[in-house]
Amino acid sequence: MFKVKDIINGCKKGDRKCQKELYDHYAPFMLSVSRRYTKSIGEAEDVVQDSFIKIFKSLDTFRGDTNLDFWIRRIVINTALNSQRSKLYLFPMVDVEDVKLYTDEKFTLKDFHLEDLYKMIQELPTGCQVIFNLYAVEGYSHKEVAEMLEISEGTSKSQYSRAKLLLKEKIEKEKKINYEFIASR
Amino acid sequence: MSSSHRGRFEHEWMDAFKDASCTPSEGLWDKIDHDLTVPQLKSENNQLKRRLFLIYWTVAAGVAFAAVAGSVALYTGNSGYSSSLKDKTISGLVLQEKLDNSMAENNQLDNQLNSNQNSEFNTNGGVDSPNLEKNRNAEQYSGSIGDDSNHHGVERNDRVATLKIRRKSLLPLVNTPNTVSLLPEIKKDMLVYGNSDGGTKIIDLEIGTGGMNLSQSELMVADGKGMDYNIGEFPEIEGVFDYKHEFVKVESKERLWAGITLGGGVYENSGISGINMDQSLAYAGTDASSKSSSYYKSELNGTTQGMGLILGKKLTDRFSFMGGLGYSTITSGLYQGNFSVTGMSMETATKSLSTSDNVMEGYLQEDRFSFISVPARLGVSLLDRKFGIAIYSGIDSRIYVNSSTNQYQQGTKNYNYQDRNINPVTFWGGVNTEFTYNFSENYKISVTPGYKIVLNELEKGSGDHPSLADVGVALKYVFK
Repeated sequence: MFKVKDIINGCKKGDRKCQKELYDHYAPFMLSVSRRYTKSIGEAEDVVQDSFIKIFKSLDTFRGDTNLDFWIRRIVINTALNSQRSKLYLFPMVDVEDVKLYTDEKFTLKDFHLEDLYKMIQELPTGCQVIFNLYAVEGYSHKEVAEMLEISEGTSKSQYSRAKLLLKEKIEKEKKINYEFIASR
Repeated sequence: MSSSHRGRFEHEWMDAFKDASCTPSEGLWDKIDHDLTVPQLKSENNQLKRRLFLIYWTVAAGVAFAAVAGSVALYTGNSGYSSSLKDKTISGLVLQEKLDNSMAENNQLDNQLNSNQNSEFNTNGGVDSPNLEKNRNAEQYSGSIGDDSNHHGVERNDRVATLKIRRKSLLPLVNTPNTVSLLPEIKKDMLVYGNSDGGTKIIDLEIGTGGMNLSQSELMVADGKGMDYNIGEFPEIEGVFDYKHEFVKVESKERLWAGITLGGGVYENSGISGINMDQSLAYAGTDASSKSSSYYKSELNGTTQGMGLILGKKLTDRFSFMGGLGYSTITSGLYQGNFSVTGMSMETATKSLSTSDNVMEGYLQEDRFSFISVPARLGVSLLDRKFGIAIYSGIDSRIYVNSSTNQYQQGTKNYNYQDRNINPVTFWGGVNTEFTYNFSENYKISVTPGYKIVLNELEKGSGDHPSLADVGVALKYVFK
């Protein structure tokens, strides 16, 4: 049984067994988060690796009144953002036309395998990818995204629109392929 | 985070990843395990490197100071030796020779000069003092004395004398045999070089720190108002400067001293000052409202006080040893706080935040450490007259006595504890400059500003190497 308090106390003392337990419990979740912000599984694992080091070093400062899942998720996101930051600066995000995209009420991702969704997100340009994750998946507002990435709110919105457009295209494409595949059988 | 205005598209994506998990590769934990082990070793290695670095630089600084101080002292010759000149005042011009020839060379020169005196002087305009050459002290001598009727005096290949001009004067500068110019004021010592064609003229005059140099020519300085050199082409020469070098070694009678000292200064533990990035990140994670820009910062500084007894001994005229026994305290304040900043990246915040910025929750920790200190320093004397200057470098060993720590949060004392894990003995490497004033036969007062740094850790396992800058005031009794 995973007892958070005991594990945290053990980790604070540097107990490697407790650290391993924390890893076993959280690594799959952390990897799923980091994969959305990176381009490959290797990069994602690097982010998880760095995140764990930060977590173990910073557990002393973890206040019990905060949800550990949330705290760990924030560290993974911050670490992933830091790892992507150089790319964001290298390829500056420019505002694109804010396209109003209306989504069909029947729109669903249930037909897609999780790996397909990772692939679609990872194929987005880095700026779009990060902003899409922060806004759509994590639920941050454009204002918060803009502050986190040191960009304007407008840039966040326009990059998100672009991400949305690109993803819709990919989804449509995937659906068509799947339809053709089923039809051919 | 707000998802209230999200459409179906966003909700679908959010739901798709809600409970998502991926199995990491088998080697990931091994990498983390390695990372957790290596930094510990690295940290220990870095601490060792840092300690060696500090020791290296403290020793290097001490050696450099001693070398520079020794060189300056040897060059200026202020502390242990003095020179005097006979007839050194002529019409308000005060000259002092500073040559370090051996007396044997002087005698040899005198003999040679005696045997040749009067042979050439007075042959050309106005030179009328054979004693000029007779008594001149030459550092290097080669050539003839008075055996060439075209020359005036002694030929020399090299520097003859070094003269110090000790006050403002008018002194002529002879540029060629037929020209002369005046230096309006001589504020510094001078170097004078003669020409190489038999010593009939001085061809160069340089202001330097060594005094006046003359070679292959005669130096005759009269009243300083006109043609004051024994150059035959200048009949206006009014007189000659007849001087004699006496090399007198002045030995300091001071051998041992004792004194009491009081000191105080500022203390800084730069090792823990600044924003802790890891902890900043951790705080950033805990506070949803401040997002990624919430920081943790700590700073430590304070004061130091001390008093003690000192005992010093002169090892040589220049070098001395000083030891003692004292009691010293360090009172320091550690501030630790969280900082919430919006619209700023972590990097920007690191550069621009100050302790007072955007404090969320801070606490103040007051520490007081007491030590018995045993200084041991080597010093070099630069000036040892009425006023003295010396530079000391060495190690202060501080034996830990006790400590007290109080923590306050929002003005309220949280707790107090006594047992910090302080090293029983800490070694402080440092350099001090001592300025002394000898106000009576046996008493001196000294002011000693200095800088010290802990060579080993003050608190075990902290990796901290605090430093302090202090000024000591001492009253010394000198045994003679």
